[in-house]
Parts: sequence; structure tokens; C-alpha cells
Amino acid sequence: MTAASGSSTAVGREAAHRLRVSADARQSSADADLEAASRGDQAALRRIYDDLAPAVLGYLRGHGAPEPEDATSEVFLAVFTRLDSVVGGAAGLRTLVFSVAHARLVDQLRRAARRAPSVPYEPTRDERVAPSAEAVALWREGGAGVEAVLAGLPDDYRDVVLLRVVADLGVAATATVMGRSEGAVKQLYRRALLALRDVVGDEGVTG
Amino acid sequence: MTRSDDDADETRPREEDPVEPTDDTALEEFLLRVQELGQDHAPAPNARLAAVLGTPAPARVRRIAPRTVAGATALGIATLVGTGWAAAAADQLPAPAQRAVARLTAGWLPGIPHPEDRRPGAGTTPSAVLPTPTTATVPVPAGDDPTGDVGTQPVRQSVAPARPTGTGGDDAERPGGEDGDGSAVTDRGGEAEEPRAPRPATGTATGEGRDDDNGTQTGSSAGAGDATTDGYDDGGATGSDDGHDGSGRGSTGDGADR
Repeated sequence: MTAASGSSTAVGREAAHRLRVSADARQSSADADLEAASRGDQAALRRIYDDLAPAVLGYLRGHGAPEPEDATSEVFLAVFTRLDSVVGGAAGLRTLVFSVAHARLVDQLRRAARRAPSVPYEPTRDERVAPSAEAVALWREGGAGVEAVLAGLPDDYRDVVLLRVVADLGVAATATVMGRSEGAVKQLYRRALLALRDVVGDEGVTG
Repeated sequence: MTRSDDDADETRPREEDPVEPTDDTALEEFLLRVQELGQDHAPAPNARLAAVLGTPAPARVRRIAPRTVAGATALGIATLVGTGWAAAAADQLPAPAQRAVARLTAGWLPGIPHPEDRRPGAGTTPSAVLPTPTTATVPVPAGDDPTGDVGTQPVRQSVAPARPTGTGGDDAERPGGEDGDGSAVTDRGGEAEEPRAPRPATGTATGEGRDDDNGTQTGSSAGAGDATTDGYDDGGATGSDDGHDGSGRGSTGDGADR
């Protein structure tokens, strides 16, 4: 590890401490909102929605879900009927929200797979193995190619990256959402980062 | 990143996890961009969720509003047109507007009668259009006339279809017709007094002297005679018309008599 990277790690930990303090305050506020929302307080429901909906929308967008705004509303409609079953306070609520979003996404992908038209396989157009050269080029040129690069990742890699980065879930919560063990999630995340480094990293393969 | 780093990952605060400092700045930048995907504003809830949250759904309102306005406008225009149409049909519009509607209907709706055509004084009167009873000349045999003064002069009579209600019909089969007392021929013709519109006399023939065996004058002759004097049939027309029925049937009866 170089000196530069060591200093950046220190800065990161300092920022993390500040975040921890504000996170504690947010945590208690979120717990209170959850309790009020369980009693049917519409203002608390609205605060929960405003807090979590952007991440859910980003998660669905990152997966390329059709009509992600409407899907976000449907996710919260399902969650709001199960607030009584939430365990673990605000963190448990966040896990539940993304569990519902993940389940809906999987259902959507399965339905789409069942309805997929049968076309001849063309290896040059297969984007499941690696992001397309066009997406990589867009990213390197600073264009808005984040979603295109993510679309080039395998489903599991994309899912774990989005849950860890966009949904801001820990390893345990990600494992709960994906239905995998924590070890599997850690390994999956590491592989996903390696795949991304190959694509967008400083030493990535061009074109 | 090593395996120990992964294990330590669980002990660090969660906010530190997503974008870990790496040796690859490009990858860090990419992960930060990925993180921004979840930092937009909350999307507007759909209608069902907005109802749960107790807030209006502005996006849906914007979508429905133009249709509502268009529907209300169409309804208003339809009501206005319908009311105006009804008023025009009832001639209740102001004169200029009524004339404008008349011009419009005459120019664009040729199948609708023009209002001027319906005025009483203009064009053909309705009475001229109505069908009038057909007239025909029926010669009366001179021998049947006991007086013989009018002889063979034709009697102009209407030949409307005989009504089956006449008691003087089928005289030949009735005792009165056969025995020639003439009562059957007289029937209701001369007595009927239905109000009729004035009508020009159809001729000068009197038709008097309808033959009865007992020589009594019956039937329509009186009416016809009046027609020659005042030029209008008046009551005589009634007698003539109904007398026709009687006389027509009477002819049959006469024939039977002969």
C-alpha cells in the first residue's frame, strides 16, 4: 500500500467518525418514525418514504427496471402493510424495503425471461459477460455510462454492488436480501469489484 | 483487499463500506457515481401510495387535468349548441339570429323546409296541396226523373268511396229500396249536417227528381240546387256529398227497381 493510499484511508476513517455521529442521530429519528408509522401516522410514513425512496429508485434504475418510479411506489405500498413485522428498528426496515424491492425485481426478470422472444444467439451481442466496449468508452470519456457499465455485469455482481453501494446495506443485510450467506456475499462483492476494475479501473482493459 | 479486510469490514460503520478506498482511483470514482444513483430526490408517489401517505399525487393531477378541462369544454359547447338549436326550431331566437339560422339551414341543410315556406301567405297554400275528392259526371237517365225538367243533364257528383255505414246502401236488397218508398235513398244524405269548409260549386246540375217509385224527391238534390244559386255549396254541399252516397246506392236500388 502506498503512502498516498494510506493517507486517503485515514481521511476516510475521519469522515466515517463524523458520519457515525450524525448516523446515530438519524438512527434514533428513524426508529421514532418507524414506531409512529406502525400506528398509522401519515407524516411518519411520508418521512420514511422520503428517506428510503431515492435509494430504492437508484437500486431499481441500476438494474434497468422498467418504470422504476412506479415500481418504487409499489415497493413501499407492500412495505407499509408489513411495518408491524419489522425487527431491528430502522436498519431492519431498510433491509425489509430492499428485500421487497429485490423480490419484485427477481419476479420481473423471471416474467421477462418467460416472455423473451427466441432469437439466434450472437456472441458479439452478448452483454452478459462483460460491459460493452461502447459503455466502457462512454465511461472513460466521462459520459453518463454508469448504468450501461452496470448492465454489462452479471446479475449477481450488479446486485451485490447496488445493495452495498446504493442501498447502503452492510454485509449481513445484503446477505439477508440476496438469500445468501455473509461469506458468499463478501466473495461476490470482491469479485464484482475486480470485474469493475477490469472495466473502468486505471489498469483496465481498453475496448 | 485481503481476506482480513473483509472480516474487519463488519466491525466498521456501514457508511464506510460502500466505497472503500482503493488503489484504483478510477474505480473509486465509478463507485461514487454508482452511489449517486440513490441520492436523487424521492420520486412522486403513484396514486395509491399518495392515498396512503395522505398527499395529493401531483403527477396524476397534471395528467388528468387536461382531459377534465377538455371534457368540460366539450360538454359546455354541446349544451350551448343544443339549446340554440332548440330555440331556433321553436322560432324563439331574435330575428337576426333566426334569419341567420334560416340561411344556414337553407344553405347547408337542404332537406329541412325553409321557414319562409311555412308562412301562410307565401307560396302554395296547404289547402291547394291537400288532395280533394275527385269529381265525375254521372248521367242520370231521363226516364227516372218524374218531372223530366232536368232530364239528362249530368249531375256532377263526387265519387268518393262509399262508406259502409250508409243505411241507404244496398237498397236493392232492402225492402224500402225495392218497394220504392225512397226512404232508404233519403237515408242520411239530406239530413247530415257536418260542418264543412266552403267549397266552390262543382256544377249546375240539380240532380232533382231522383227516382222513387212513389215520386218523392229525396237525397242530394236540394243541396245541388243551392249550389247553383249562391255559388257555394254551403249546407247543400253537405247534402250533395252525403247525398251522393245515398244516390249512388239509390241508383243501384233504382236499377233493381227497374
